[in-house]
Amino acid sequence: MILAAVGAYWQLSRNSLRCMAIVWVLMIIGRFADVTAPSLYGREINLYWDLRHLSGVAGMLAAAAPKRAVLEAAAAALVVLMTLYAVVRWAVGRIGESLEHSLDRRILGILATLAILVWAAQKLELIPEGRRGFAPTVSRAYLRQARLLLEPLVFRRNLTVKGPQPIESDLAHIRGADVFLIFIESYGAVSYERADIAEGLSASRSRFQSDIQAAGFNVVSAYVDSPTFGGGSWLAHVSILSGVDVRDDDMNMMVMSQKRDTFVTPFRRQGYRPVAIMPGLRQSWPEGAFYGFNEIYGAAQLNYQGPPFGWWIIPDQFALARLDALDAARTPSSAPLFVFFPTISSHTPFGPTPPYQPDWPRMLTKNPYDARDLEKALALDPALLDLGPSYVRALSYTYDSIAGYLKRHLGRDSVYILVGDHQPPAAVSGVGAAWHVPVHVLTTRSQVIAPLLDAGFNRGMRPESAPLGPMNKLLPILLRAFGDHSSESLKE
Amino acid sequence: MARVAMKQTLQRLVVLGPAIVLLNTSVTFYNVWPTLAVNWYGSLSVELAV
Repeated sequence: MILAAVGAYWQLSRNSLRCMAIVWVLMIIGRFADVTAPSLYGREINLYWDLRHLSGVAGMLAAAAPKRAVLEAAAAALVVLMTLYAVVRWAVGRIGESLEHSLDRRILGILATLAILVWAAQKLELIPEGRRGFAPTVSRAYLRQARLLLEPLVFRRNLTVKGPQPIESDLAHIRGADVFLIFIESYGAVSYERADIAEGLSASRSRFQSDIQAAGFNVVSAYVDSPTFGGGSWLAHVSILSGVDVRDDDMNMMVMSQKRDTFVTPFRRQGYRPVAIMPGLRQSWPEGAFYGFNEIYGAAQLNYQGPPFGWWIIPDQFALARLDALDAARTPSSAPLFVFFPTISSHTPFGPTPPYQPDWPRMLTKNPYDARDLEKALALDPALLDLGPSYVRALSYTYDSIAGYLKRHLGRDSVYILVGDHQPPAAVSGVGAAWHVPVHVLTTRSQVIAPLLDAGFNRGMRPESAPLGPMNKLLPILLRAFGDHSSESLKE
Repeated sequence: MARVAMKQTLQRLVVLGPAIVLLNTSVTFYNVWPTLAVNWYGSLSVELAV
């Protein structure tokens, strides 16, 4: 309509038509991002949060995919952009040409006015909205992103940190037992609730449950709501470890800037040795000091010598084998362990998945796998448009690795908290999937089970009820199960 | 003369139709889960009208 009005007085120049074509191409890109992100990732884009992680994600995908595929994808993107511009420039040119004629201007003006009136009627709910009506505007999506970018810069967010302080427990029910807090990467409710994935995992899950029981452990399970979806694992880590519901990086920074007790604190006070095993860690990790870890083993310290598996390189099984090696000098009088282990082998894009190696000491050598097993594993690249099968393989591997570790430590007095950090991206979870993740507690200490059942856990590997609440609520639930405490802040 | 003008107008409008449909479709598509593919369900763009 605006063009029809302008066209009545001025002829549109070539440059203005080019500008319009460029703006329209940007609108197409905006529309594509706006409809694709929720479908594949699971939430809308938030440029303020997502831009800072963009280079890391691009690097991860580039390293996980073959170089040739990356180059082909880049070339294809360029061709698509150029083609889009050419086609849009042609269409805009035809409109510009028509606007030079008064009859065409009148027709376009009438059509545009009618369209705007119908749109207004739809907005006023005189006509029902739907896919066959007017699509949401692209400018709305751009304006939303501009607001998300500018809001934190212009307005200071008034954040308050709510969470239990101090965090105290005598850990009487688990005294002397080693405690493992294992965050299983991308382990979400979808692994139980999406039929094809649940079916794909059913054999390895049954095997895992049998191995757990054979190793003398009781297992109870529940769901909790993760503070994040499809990525941002650190938000899940900080939520459990601090007891604060941390859903964005601003809140994360706010929590980290305070001197607070964490989940690790009562273990330190009770003489535990807190160790962080982090195969995915490649930079400094100041959070480690905040949480209270004495020893932090990132990728460099773990010193994996075997073949790399995707961007994350280090197999989870190796990380567990290295933990044993680090702990080799242990005596019965040594301090019990509190181990924080975020796994990495089931990170998006879920492959290539390492083969499970039954010969654990071999994992510490330069040749941890037989050539044939390795070749077969590396040949199974994840299909980026059908990640379900790779997701199943990756989680099966994680189950096998943890079960293998349990079998290596038969008779060890220990408690394992296995918790998903977040659902996999929407490409696996589905559009609009819930944010809940499974949590399993495996223990040889029977006193721990009853309080967990009271809190809403059920026996077995399959969580059977609604989520217990946000993930940070696990901290008081676990500490209440682990012993008596005097801290009022941990009571409901 | 009038017939020639009419013919030219018709020719312009015949080309204009696909150009408008193309621009409209290009900002009103939806995603086909779980792929990068998109589909159009007949939605209209008010931005094109504006």
